[in-house]
Amino acid sequence: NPIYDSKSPNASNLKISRMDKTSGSVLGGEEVFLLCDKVQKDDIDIRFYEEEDDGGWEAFGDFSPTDVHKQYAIVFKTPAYRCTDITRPVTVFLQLRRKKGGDSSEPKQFTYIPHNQDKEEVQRKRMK
Amino acid sequence: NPIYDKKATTTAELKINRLNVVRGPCTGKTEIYMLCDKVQKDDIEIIFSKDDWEAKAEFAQTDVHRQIAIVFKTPPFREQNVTEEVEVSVCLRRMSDRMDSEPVKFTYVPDNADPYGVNRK
Repeated sequence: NPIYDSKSPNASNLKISRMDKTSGSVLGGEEVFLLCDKVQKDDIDIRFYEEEDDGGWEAFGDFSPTDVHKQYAIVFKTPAYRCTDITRPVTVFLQLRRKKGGDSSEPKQFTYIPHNQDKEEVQRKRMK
Repeated sequence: NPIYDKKATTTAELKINRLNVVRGPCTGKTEIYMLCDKVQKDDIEIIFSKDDWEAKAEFAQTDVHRQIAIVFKTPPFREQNVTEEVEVSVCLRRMSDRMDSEPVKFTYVPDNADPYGVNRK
C-alpha cells in the first residue's frame, strides 16, 4: 500500500471553500474568485459537469497557472453551458480535479442564467 | 541594525495582488474578495482612505483564507450623498507595527435611490 504524505499537495484532499459567484451567464466567460485548500498550479482543473444516464456533460474553467494565487485561490472564467438557448436557469456542479490521478473535491453548485434574461438584467443595470 | 525575516508574516512586506470588485455604492457593504501576500489573521486591517478620511473594512478572522485571501465588506464613505464617483485608496495595515501596503484604487459611486432617473427627468 502506498504511504501518502498528508502535508503534500499531491495527496491532501481537494476542497472548495468559497466562491464569489455561484451563478452567471449561460454563455460563460464570467470571472470567478475561488478559495480552496492547497492545489498545485499546473496540476488542477475546475470541472463543470452534469451527470446523466446518457453520459452527461463536462467543461472546464479557463485559467492559466498565474491565476492560481499562492496555492490557495484560483481566478478563472466560467465555460459556456452545453446549450446556450435555455429559457430557465440550469444548475450544474463544479469541482476541483487533479489532472494526474484524477481525484476530485466535493462539488459546489453553479447556476447558468438564460441569455435573454441576462440581457434584460444588464439593461436594467445600465439604466441605473 | 535589526535583521528582518522577509518570509515572516510579522515583518514581511504587505501586498495586495487582486480585488474581484473595484466599484461600489458609497453606502458601503459591498462584498470584496482580496488576494494578497501572506498576512496574519489577528494582526491585519483593511483601510479605506481619502485625504484625512479613513475607515476600516469589515471582516472576521474566519474571513481570512489561508493567510492569502480576505473576504470583506466595504465601509461606508464619509459622505452618503455624493453625486459623482469618488476614487479612494485601499491598503492592508499590520496593526502591530502600523505598516501599510501599497494602495490600490476603489471607486465609490453615488447610491442611487432613483435607479431609473425618474426624478431627474
